[in-house]
Amino acid sequence: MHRIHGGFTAAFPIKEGPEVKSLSNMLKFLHNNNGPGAANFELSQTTLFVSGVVLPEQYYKTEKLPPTFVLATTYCGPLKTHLRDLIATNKNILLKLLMFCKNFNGGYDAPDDEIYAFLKKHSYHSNFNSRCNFISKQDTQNEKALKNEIEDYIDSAQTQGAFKGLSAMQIRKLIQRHIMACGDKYAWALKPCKKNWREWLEIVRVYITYQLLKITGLALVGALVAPLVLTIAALFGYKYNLTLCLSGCIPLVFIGIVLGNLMTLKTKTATRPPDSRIKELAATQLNPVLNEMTAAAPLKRGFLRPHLYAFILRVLGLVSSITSKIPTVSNIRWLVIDNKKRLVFLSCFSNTTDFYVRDFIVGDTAKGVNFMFTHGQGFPDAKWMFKTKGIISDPEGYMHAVHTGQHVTELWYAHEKLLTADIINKNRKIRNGLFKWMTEEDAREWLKLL
Amino acid sequence: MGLQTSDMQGLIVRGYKTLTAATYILLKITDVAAATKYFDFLAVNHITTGEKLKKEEAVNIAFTRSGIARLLNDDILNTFSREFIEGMSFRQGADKKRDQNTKMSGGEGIESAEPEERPMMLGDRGKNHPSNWHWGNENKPVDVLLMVYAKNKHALEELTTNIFTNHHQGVEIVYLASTYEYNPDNPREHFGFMDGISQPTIKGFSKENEVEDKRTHINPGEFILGYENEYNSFSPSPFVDRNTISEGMDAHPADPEKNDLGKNGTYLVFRQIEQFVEAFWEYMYTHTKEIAASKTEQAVKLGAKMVGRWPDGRPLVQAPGSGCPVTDATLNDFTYADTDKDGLMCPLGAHIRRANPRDHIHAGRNPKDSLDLSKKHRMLRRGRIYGEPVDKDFNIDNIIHHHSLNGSHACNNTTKKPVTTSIGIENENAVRGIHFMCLVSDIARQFEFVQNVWANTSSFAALHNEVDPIMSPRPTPEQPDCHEFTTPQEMTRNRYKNIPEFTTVVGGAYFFMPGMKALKYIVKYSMANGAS
Repeated sequence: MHRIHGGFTAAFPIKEGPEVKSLSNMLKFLHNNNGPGAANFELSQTTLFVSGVVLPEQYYKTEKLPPTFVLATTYCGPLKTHLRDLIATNKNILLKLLMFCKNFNGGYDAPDDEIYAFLKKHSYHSNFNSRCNFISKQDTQNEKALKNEIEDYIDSAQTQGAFKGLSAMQIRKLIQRHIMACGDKYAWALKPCKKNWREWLEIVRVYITYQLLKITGLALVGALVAPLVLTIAALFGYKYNLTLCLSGCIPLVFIGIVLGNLMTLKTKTATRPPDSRIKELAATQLNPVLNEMTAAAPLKRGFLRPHLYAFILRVLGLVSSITSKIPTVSNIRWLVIDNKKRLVFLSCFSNTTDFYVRDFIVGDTAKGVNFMFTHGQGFPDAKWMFKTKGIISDPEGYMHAVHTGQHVTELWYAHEKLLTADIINKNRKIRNGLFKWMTEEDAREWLKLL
Repeated sequence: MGLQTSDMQGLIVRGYKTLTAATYILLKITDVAAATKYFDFLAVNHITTGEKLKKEEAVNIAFTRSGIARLLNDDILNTFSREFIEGMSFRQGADKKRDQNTKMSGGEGIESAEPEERPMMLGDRGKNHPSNWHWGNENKPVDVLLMVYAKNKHALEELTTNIFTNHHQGVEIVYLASTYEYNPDNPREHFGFMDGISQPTIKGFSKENEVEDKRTHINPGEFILGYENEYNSFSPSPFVDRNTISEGMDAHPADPEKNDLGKNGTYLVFRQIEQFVEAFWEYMYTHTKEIAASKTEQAVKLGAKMVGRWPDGRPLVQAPGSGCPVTDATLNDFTYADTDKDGLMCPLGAHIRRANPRDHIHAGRNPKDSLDLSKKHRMLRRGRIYGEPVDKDFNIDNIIHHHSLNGSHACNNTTKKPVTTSIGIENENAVRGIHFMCLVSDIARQFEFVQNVWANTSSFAALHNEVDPIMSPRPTPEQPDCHEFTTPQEMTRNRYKNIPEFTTVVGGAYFFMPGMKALKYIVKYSMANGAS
């Protein structure tokens, strides 16, 4: 089975009435309760992160967007395997939650297939990205243990003076011997972790798609601009058919009008929400290393905006491992729900929300995030939808919009709350370097990881 | 836009290095009307502005949330930043019930079972918990901070008598925080390291021309409200209605219909941090694995690695060996990305790398983005030390020798010498440490960010089980193994474990230091609204 990370996100409108509050309470109970009947995502080997959050009703123009339960997971392996695994290990929990959702007709004895179909039916595409791709839950635990074993060995060898005068290669040899002497415990570490064919295929797919998208984008721009150039040339006396050239400009004019409208549309930026609300949100951000946030905002006005935004998210989702450049992220996703009218942002990251999202405003990251957020109500308008202004020149407006759109994630599970993506990736490098062929220089670099 | 230094309080513009004696008087307002008159007296006669020093003395004033609340009204108070309104010792959940759930965090301290946002973020856990503070907590709240500077101790005594003893009304002393005589030629903190070297270069200030590297120059709005910050926008600033009282004040940048109460003012973060000098050097002396000619030099080397500089201030990235010379001009002129990306010279978790990572913030940021980000989290530091030093010349050999002569030491300082002055007892219960003081335009983005994300986060620089070795609490209930420090070496790193806390926070508060027009507004408003 491959270890490609994926992001499953489903959104379920909640039944009318007191069910919204009840679901919220149920999520809190599941989050805080470790006893019988509580969620046990630890049992699910494919599940890395889980977020369960209730989005309140919001308004797109005058249309009411219903209160919605969002269930998001970060998983490792094929989606089908993950959902089956999730249902097998946490069926009762899923049923308890889905009971509150509209159109779920299965009772407490609903068959697995019905739950599976319901989850799939309500799932959405997103531009999900994980910074620990190709590392499974078991790998993470194993590699953490291996790293600790090596660190402890180095400490003890140093105390005994065992490394004195040795080269990096010789030191690594001693470390190798120690790990081998541990027997079966680290037998898996005797070979580097290699990607299987499916994982390589994924890497190639992303790379080729990225290049194709670039070529397609350039070709499209060329195709749109060429008639304009020819028209100008015709006006200056070159022998081109002016009518034909002018008619070739129609798509460009159309796109210009549509995009121009979106780009120049002025909307109201969010103002400072009550401090009590920010306190409530801050109280959910007290984990010492990793935290989670969910924000949702209806899209801004603009007839084509929902379609354009959803389309671009879909395209970015194909190549997100290349385009997503936020280094403090463990996983991140933007998506649109409610018939493309509500933007949802979910992420697990190092540090607390305020510090995490504010540090988006630097270099090229700011431009990318500007585009992703500028379509949400309350977020500052960006010039050309990404380049300047927006969050770049109005960081306070941006933070107000984040606080306004952020919702308490009542249920959150992370398989390793104290390990950032950087540390998980570093542990993988330690494992892969342990028995890999190396030069003296390579071995020195490898030792620096410890 | 030129800087209006005449409307700023002097501490923003200069650290009063020539005024070697200082005391910080922490006050509570007991009678608003009388206190207002006293503040009016100070504002008119004594508050020192940012213009050139005319006298060999200086007086500055700042207010906490409760001080502002008593002098102004809730509507105005609510225009201040959330951090200021809540205060440094704010408790999320506000449940005063405490439990004994702090054994893991080292402590004598008592913490609430409720999650506490700010203490958690700042690392005020265990012994550092606000419930144990000398001032600034629920038991000893502070409304006003009066900072008094003079050229020597005698002049300071005279000045405090003149401006406080003889004139104060409507206020009483909560805590008198004295300082140890400042030596401008050799400013050291109690561990023996030169302090205050890494100050930001602010655009528009005279020192701007002294630093050639324009990349490191910082917009004044990072430290002074009402000016453009590093986002080329304005940090959130409090505001007031336009009326006869606020006449003459500048318009608020975000709402021209209002007047800017923050203009030329700043937020002042004050933390009293006790230092355990003997415990610090004892750990260095007994645990060092660094290579040097003698045991003492080995200890100094480990201490330098934890700080990131040698005791005389030379940065390790410029002077990896104790004998490497560095000129004064380049003491603060260095980066990490090209010279020391692996931390072989200055460890990745060293105090100065965490406080200001310069061009090498980890987690995949390139040097340019790192430098841009670092500039958005700088602080203008103005603190001074208090208490008798272990060695009056701050000679490291003597400090270590003092330790070895005295044998094993507990983590707590063993002597206390409260000094009685004409206005009260100074530093009651305090021994030695630092009055950390910094000026920022955004408490959360600057002070709290550095404290939380860079100092107290164990995953900084992809490290694990490490926090700032000098100032962070360890271990914490959530991270019981978080008590390590690593010094990278050419072959295998040295790892140090079970590092005790060398400092404890014993007091603190967030203050607003208004500009002169704003100060006069506060006084006028208070007088006009029932205080008179």
